[in-house]
Amino acid sequence: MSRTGRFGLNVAVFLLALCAAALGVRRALARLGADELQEAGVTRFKLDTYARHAADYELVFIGSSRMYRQVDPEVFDDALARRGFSTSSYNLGLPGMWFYEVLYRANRIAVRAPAALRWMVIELQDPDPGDEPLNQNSQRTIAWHTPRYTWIACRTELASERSLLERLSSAGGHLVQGFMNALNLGLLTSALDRGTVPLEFREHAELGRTGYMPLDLEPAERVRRGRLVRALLKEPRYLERQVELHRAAGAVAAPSGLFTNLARLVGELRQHGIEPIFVLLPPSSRTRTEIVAAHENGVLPNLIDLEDPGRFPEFYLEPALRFDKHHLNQRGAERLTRLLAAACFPILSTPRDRPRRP
Amino acid sequence: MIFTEWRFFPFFLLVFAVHWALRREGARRLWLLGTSYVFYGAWDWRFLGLIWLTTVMDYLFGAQLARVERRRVAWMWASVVMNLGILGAFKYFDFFVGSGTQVLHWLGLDVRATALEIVLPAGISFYTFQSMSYTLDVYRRELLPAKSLLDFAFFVAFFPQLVAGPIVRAADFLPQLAEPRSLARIDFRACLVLFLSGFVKKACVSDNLAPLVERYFEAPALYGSASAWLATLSYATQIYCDFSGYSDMAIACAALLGYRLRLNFDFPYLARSITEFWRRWHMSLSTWLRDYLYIPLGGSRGSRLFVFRNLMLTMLLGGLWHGAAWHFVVWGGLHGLALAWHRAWRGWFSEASRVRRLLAPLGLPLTLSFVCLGWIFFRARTLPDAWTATRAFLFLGTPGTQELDPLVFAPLFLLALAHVVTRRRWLAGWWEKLPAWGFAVAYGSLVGLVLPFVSVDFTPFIYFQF
Repeated sequence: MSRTGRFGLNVAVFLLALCAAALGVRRALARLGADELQEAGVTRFKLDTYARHAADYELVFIGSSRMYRQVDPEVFDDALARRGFSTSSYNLGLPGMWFYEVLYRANRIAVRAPAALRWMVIELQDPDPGDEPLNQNSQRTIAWHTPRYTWIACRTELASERSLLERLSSAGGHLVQGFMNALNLGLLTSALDRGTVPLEFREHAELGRTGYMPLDLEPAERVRRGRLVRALLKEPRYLERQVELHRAAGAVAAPSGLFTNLARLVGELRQHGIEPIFVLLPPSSRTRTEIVAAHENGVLPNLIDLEDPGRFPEFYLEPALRFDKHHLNQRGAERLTRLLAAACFPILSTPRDRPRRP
Repeated sequence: MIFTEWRFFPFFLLVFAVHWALRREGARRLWLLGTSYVFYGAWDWRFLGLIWLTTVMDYLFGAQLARVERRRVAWMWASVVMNLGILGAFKYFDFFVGSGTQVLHWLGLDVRATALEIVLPAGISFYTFQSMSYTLDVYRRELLPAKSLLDFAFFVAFFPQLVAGPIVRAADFLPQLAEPRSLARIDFRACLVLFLSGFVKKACVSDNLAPLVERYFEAPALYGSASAWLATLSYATQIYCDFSGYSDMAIACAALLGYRLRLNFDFPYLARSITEFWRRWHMSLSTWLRDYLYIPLGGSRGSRLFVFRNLMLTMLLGGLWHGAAWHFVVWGGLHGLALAWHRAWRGWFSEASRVRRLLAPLGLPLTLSFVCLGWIFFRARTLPDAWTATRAFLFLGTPGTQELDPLVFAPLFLLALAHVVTRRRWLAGWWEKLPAWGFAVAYGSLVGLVLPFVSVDFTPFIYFQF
């Protein structure tokens, strides 16, 4: 055999050994609960807290920071109690949890949740988060890039209507993350640093029980207060301009994979006896028009639309309710939560809609 | 781009493949020079201009020094002033202006100074020292000038050592350019094992210790003495694994391309005295400081006080080289004092004396404890923080009540054990005894076992900032 041939053979043997070792490690760690081991920071804290008290909660909220920072379970439960409906909810929203991760986490929670869980309030988002950070190359992002969700993400990205280069780049990024997941990259690093309570929950321990943390109370330095004030000082019509941009962006076409993936998620959740409630939160989603149309056509069940600047101008134009460009403050969150509770009440209180866990 | 980023691997595979596919040395050198600039430019292409400036100027200074007989000192000083001027402007300007303003404030003078707030170009201290050593060697007539600008530019920018050393001497590197290079001479296995060992040190050990160290040093006043020890030992491990890991990977990458870089670390934490520590720690810097600063200052010739002065000056400037902050200067000063004290100690008691033989077993723990104490000043954010941590480290009173997880002592103990095992070479050369396919299986399995411990969160190399 030629020198090049021998070299190629050795490379192939190396790759085979690497794959075998990765597979062996994954199997060994699966017995120790590898999926949980790799969660870190806020994610681990919230999932651990939820897991410890899962039997107490009938409803969970899942979504990005718009859910995490804007929906207060205490206010939600209280608003429903005033209407004579008793429930207990937990906020599992996470900063930067975009569309595919929502699919992944919703499925995982549904599979593992105890019988108490009946409803899942899911924030609807565009798969392409636009100008918002992609949260790439973090352990959390690698964690959700299992073969199944990497495939879903790649397929949806390739079928979107963006330019070929953008589609290839985006799908390639997901493939790399999927590759990292397959090689167990960093799977145990979080396990080495267990027991760390994230700063925001360390300083506001009493808030850990609900999983909700308004940005006003977030002690981490990275949260820049006053950014909105600066933007308003620079341009008094800043919020109006955001609304105009939002309206213009509403016409962007939804990728074909969006509704297919959502329909699959609905099926999976119902299979586990959990009824999904989809919610559009202010100020978000560029594909609102089509989502509303999909709901009207019966593709999406239980849609609550709170992100219309025409119907809810206060969430868009009232600086006293806003924290920054993407989030409401604690006051705004309280008002939004009460509105959400009022909108959820008819769905939750209809006996025929109350599912039974198998 | 750093060695532990995933994009480095396709980059290096391409560099390696094209390098060895090219037949002519000149073309290979040009290829490596171009890819070195890409490697550096991936971090911030704007600072490429600075490397080019240093390269062209020092090449011209070197050529001039080789050509003229008169005013050679002036040309040498011109090179030193230019190099230190660039370093001073980018690294020390704000520090000196800030410190000067503070002193004037204490004196009651209200002076307002503008800080430049320039981003520190990665590796500027390394390539400046490297380039400067070339003109100094040519000035001393210890080195012939580089044959071409291409050769000199390649020496300055060769990517494995560009951003975090080892500081390569022109006298070591330029002669290698004339040597024949062939793929058959490369010891692949040794290079791959060295790279993996460096990768493990950086990505698995150093990066995983970083959050714990950060937690302590962001607020040392919160913690007690046990945590001070834990954090300091963790930082000692972190900085060693970070920097020696980088050096291992740099040496391995260079060797895969057919170039030799000098060893930069030789088990420094097993040193039995502070003098021995500096012979084993960051050897390329300590020998640079010895040859271009300590010896020109007068070195060890002269009165005891004169030698102490030279040691202190060398170490204070060595401390300042690490960063534009007073805590680095204090760190350098502490090491200067320790070196001076050790020198005096050796003068008081001869090697054969009973006292030295009796106290010999204490050499290693005392040296290690002192080095750790020094790391507190190196790592702390401010001098008051360093003082708080030092008091806790020396059990002189601990304001805090919180403690870090003591379980971390276990991996630190295992790492110390691994350090000793490697030093004694108990596992050395295992890769040479295996057949080719066996090595491929062993290496693939090792990589597969290591990856779960690789910290994904981006942690730049500590020495990048120097």
